[in-house]
Amino acid sequence: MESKKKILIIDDEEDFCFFVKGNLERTGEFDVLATSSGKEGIKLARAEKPDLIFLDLNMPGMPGDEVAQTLFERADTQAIPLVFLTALVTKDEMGQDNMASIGGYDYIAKPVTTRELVSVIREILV
Amino acid sequence: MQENQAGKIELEKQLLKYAEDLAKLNHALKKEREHSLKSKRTALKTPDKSGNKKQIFIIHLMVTIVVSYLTIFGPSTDRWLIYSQIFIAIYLSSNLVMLYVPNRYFIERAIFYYLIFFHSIMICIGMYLSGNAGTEFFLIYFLIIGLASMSTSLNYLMINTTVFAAVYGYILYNKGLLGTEMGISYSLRLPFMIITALFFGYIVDVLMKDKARDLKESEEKYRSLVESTNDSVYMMDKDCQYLSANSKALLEYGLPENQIVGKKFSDFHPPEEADEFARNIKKVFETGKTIQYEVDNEERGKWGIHTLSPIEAADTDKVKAVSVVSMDISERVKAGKELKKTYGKLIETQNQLIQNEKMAALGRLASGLAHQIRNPLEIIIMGVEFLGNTMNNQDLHHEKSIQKIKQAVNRTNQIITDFLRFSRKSEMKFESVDVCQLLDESVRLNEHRIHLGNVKIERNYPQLPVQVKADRNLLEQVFMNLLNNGIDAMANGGEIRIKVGTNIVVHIDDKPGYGTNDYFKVGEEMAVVEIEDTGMGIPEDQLPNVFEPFFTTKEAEKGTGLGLSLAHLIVDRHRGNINVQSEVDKGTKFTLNLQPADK
Repeated sequence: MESKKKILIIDDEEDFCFFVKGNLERTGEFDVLATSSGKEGIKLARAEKPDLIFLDLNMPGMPGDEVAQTLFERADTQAIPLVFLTALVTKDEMGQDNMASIGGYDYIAKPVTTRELVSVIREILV
Repeated sequence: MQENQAGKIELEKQLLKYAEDLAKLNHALKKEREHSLKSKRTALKTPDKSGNKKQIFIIHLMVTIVVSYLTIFGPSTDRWLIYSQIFIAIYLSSNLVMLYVPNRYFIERAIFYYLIFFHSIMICIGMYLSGNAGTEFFLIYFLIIGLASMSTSLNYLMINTTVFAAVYGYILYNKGLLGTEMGISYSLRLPFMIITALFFGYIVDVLMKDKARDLKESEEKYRSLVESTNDSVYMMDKDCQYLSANSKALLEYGLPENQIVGKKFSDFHPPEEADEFARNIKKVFETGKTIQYEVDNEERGKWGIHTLSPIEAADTDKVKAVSVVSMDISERVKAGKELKKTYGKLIETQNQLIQNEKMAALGRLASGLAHQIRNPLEIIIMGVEFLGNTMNNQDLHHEKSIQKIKQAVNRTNQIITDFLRFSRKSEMKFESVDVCQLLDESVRLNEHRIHLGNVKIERNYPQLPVQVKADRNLLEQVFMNLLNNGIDAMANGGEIRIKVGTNIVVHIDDKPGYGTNDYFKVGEEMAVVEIEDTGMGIPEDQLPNVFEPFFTTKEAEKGTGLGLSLAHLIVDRHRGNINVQSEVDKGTKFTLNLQPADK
């Protein structure tokens, strides 16, 4: 049996984190870590070394791009694929599954469905 | 965000520059006005050079006739008769000689010297021959004194009078009159003549000198004014012929004076201008009143003001000539136009700045909304899915419910998308867009829906492409929206007619969607796009609300109600019009008026 992929979600909406964790883990493919704090997220990333991180770009406190910057700078988190969750897109800019690659970074548009998340994970971690 | 800031700073710099230009132009205009007020215009007096010969001739004739008369009827002896006759003949014939002397000799003063000398001699001879030495004959000499004092110098008068007195004295002595009882009164005549001549001559001299000085002074004043003024000054007679022109006028015409005097106004100006000029000249001659009128020659970029003043003859009030002062106000007019243009630019830049501010604010609003709304939305989606996953006894209703909830979320999301999409384009990229091409593109993108909805598309495009000044994406959004509305309105299929053309604005009227506007002026060209469907139409009482945000006649799932209001906003930012006509169960027609690309 394949080992489960470890997914880290960093999003300021706690309830979203709760639901996403539940939905993704139900598929049986993933182990999900979720936090609503950027700082916490960095700690978790360093400690747990997830296979993929979903990062909300628009967070109060430590903003998403700062979190990303920190993750890129640290050797132990540099290589982890990062997908930004963003509210500021109009869906027709996104391709299938609401995902887009812009400037070397991957984005997915809020609000997302579980299916879209799974599709993205599969695409990146194939 | 950075871009917006940079753009704003650019605009503010431009605004400052325009304000500076405006201040400069205003200053220049003020100076120009002050300067033109300073230059004064005066009427000129022409020296009257005619009639000299006539006056002199009359005096000459008078003297000759009187002297001849006295000579004939004097108490002379027969011995002198022959001489008398010869004398009279010579004297009278001198009149004839005078007639033939050309005019120009009478302008100079020299002729008077000769005449006075001649007359003095002739009077002496006449007195001697006629034996009238003792009579009042000698009083004729006072005529000569009068003439001399007015036309020759005081010195000459005195010399002449002294010599005449001496000769007269000798004649008196020769005739033995000095020895008689009357001798003293006769001899008193001599100093009497001299003193009279002195007195009379002196007074006239002083008067004349004053007059001459005053005349000279005012002449010089006028001349310097006429020459130094920056305006062209010239004089016309009633046939619009030039009598004179000042140096500025000569400069304007580029000709020396002798090539202008005698020519007509129409020789140097176009026919309409010359006609207007001639009419005004005639009016001045008739009414004797000053006329001022403006001349503009826009092609040559020259504007002027002509002031026509009557010049009356010194003695009568009849107008002899008209002085024309032609002031060149081209600079002032041009400055005025420049000012207007810069002011227009100022207003435009200001509006642009305000517009950008608005858009930036709108953008911020849209971003804020996007966050605030999409975050809860993502919770709802995830939550609903979670519910679906964790419910044990699932039936069909649950699945359907989940779907409905998701649809509702999508509708909400679409509003945010529309709003974001519009507000994000704070800088619209205007380019020249082929309207027909864009319409075809929009139709193509909707192919699937058109086919499904059993809709027939009918196109009515002109021969030549119609280019409009537009942001391609935004305009496409408008077309898409209108097409979709049309398709939605025809549940059982129908026809969509698309017509493109150009129009010249004849009048602006009120239709739902627009009141009077100033995007198009009467006479301007605009591009017209009509999208008409054969659908269910919009009731008349709802027509005025059609462009309101969130207004929709569609069923809930089908429309957000934002499409038309956004379309309206977009068209407005394109400086165009959109309006609607509709009849229930017949159809709806949207008409767009857009700015042509070449404007």
